[in-house]
Amino acid sequence: MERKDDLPPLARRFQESLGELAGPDQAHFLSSLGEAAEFLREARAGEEAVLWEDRPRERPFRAPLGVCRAWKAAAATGSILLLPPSREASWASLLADRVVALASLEDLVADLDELFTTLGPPSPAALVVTGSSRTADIEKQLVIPAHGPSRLDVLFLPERPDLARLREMVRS
Amino acid sequence: MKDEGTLQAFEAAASDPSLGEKVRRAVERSVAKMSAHLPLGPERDALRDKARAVRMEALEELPELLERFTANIEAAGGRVHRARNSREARETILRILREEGARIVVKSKSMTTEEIGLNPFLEEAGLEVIETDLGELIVQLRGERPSHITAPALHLSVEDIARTFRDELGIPPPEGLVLEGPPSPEEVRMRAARELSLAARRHLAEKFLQGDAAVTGANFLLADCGAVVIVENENNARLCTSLPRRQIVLAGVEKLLPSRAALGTLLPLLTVTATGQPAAGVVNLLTPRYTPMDVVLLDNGRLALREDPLFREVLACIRCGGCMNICPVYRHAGGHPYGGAYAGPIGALLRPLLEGLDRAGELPFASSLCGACSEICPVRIPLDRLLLELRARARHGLLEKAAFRAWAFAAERPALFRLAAAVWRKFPFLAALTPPGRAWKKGRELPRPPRESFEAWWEKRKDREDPRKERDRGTEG
Repeated sequence: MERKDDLPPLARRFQESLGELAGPDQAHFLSSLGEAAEFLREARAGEEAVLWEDRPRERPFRAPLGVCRAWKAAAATGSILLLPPSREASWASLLADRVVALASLEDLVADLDELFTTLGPPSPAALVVTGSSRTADIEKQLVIPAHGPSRLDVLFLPERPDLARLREMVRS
Repeated sequence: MKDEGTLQAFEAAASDPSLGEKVRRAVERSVAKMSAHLPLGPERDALRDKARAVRMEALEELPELLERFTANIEAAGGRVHRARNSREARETILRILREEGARIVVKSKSMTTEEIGLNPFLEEAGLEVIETDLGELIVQLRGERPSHITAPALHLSVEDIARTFRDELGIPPPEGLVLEGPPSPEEVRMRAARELSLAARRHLAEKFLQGDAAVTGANFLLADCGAVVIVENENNARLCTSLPRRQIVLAGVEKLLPSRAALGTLLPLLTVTATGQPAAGVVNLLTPRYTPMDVVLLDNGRLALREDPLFREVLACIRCGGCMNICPVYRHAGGHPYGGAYAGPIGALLRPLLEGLDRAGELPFASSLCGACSEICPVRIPLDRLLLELRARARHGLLEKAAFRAWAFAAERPALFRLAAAVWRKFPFLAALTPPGRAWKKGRELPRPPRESFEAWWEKRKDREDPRKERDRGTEG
């Protein structure tokens, strides 16, 4: 189901950059929201345990899976831009062990410089995330996870994804 | 000079070879990774020039940027406090925490809180303070200062940390790791590093939820959108700013940048110089619309330093720690002998400039002036030249002055110079009796005098044919 051979250069670069982090993080290039729903159905542990960024919970909750929107992606470093509107919304990409971020190929830019110079109006929070949480504080030994997610999957779609529609498709 | 403690601290650190070993291994890894991604050379220099221009312009416009930042934070419902010195900053933070009714404070890495001595102050006031960055947690448990700006525990081995976790947290040491005696095989040690890191994750997981308030630092402050920038890898800063009720940000006033566009230039250089990463795990841009926020802006000598035309550029520093990674003195001594929050060449400048030469006047001398720091600095601060300038400002002892006068007097009088040199050749042990000779001998052998003077040597061979001339003739013919 994943496109591999006909990837545009920036997409290929993004995939390589994420791979260079030497962690479990991956980029996937899908052709429809339906494929994203399928990916989530395969990944998730049980419906109630999923944190959705657009459906924040009132109390902190550690979940096996979180789903959020990535508003931009920088190919040179494999970074994504998250714009959680509130702290509760940010838990989907923070308190989940595995995070799936949905991006659009339209929002893929070359590098961090381009990402920062093309940001929209200031939002409550803007997070530029590169891979899963990590530490190398003990003898410079890379350890994943640190305090946040242990795995990040970035799903690229041709069009801008709609989380509410995706949720319905996952359920049906 | 009054600053006797500094010298002793460096001597003590240098006399422990295992310390230098640990520090060197850690920083060499960072430098190697940096070189792989962005080697020294013209391309890197062009980026450094750009980064330097961004920082120097921001320092030029600092008063306007401060005003705009404050207005934007307040418009979004946050508060900005100005602290002239460490005491004011500590008291402001405690007042906010009391207002909030906070009992447990979670912290993400901040060297500025180290600069003002925040943790002991809050603990004395009855608060529980928990460092959440792994390296910071380790040094906090050991009652030490961070040894490096970006890698606080790089002076410790896996075994050191296993002992600390066992003694302070009751976490059993990883299986198979030898704590006393010859070290375990490398693969066992590295598996242990992983286990200890994960044990810290489990230990802190609940603490993030228990924290009533968070204290964080800031890598930059953005004037145009009233945002605080925090760069991290572990996601502990994200947890600190996304779970407790209130966030208190402590930042030096010099951290202001005009806009988000400046980050594209500065962030890649910051992370690649610090740890060799092209990008950090998370760059947080946070406003008071995201989390209830108090920003405490610390002066502590910075605004006065901004008025100093010679040393203003020290404030351009983006705290990457690159100058520590590359410094031969730091590689032997680690960060502790510098005696403050900031170590290495930048610390040897910042401490005397912010605290005064009477308190840290010996630090500019803790450098070989090799200039490696200036080569690596992402904002091109000429650290070695400024260290030399600062030495000139440091007060010199009367004895040192007298010694250099005596040298000058003899050097200008050939007969006297020849006599003194002859005495030294005859009785070399005399040199060890002078104060500089004694100080030199503490860690090194005194050089042995040559058998004959240069003059005598020259006298013997000046009539001989110059071998170079012969060679030149050979190639011509």
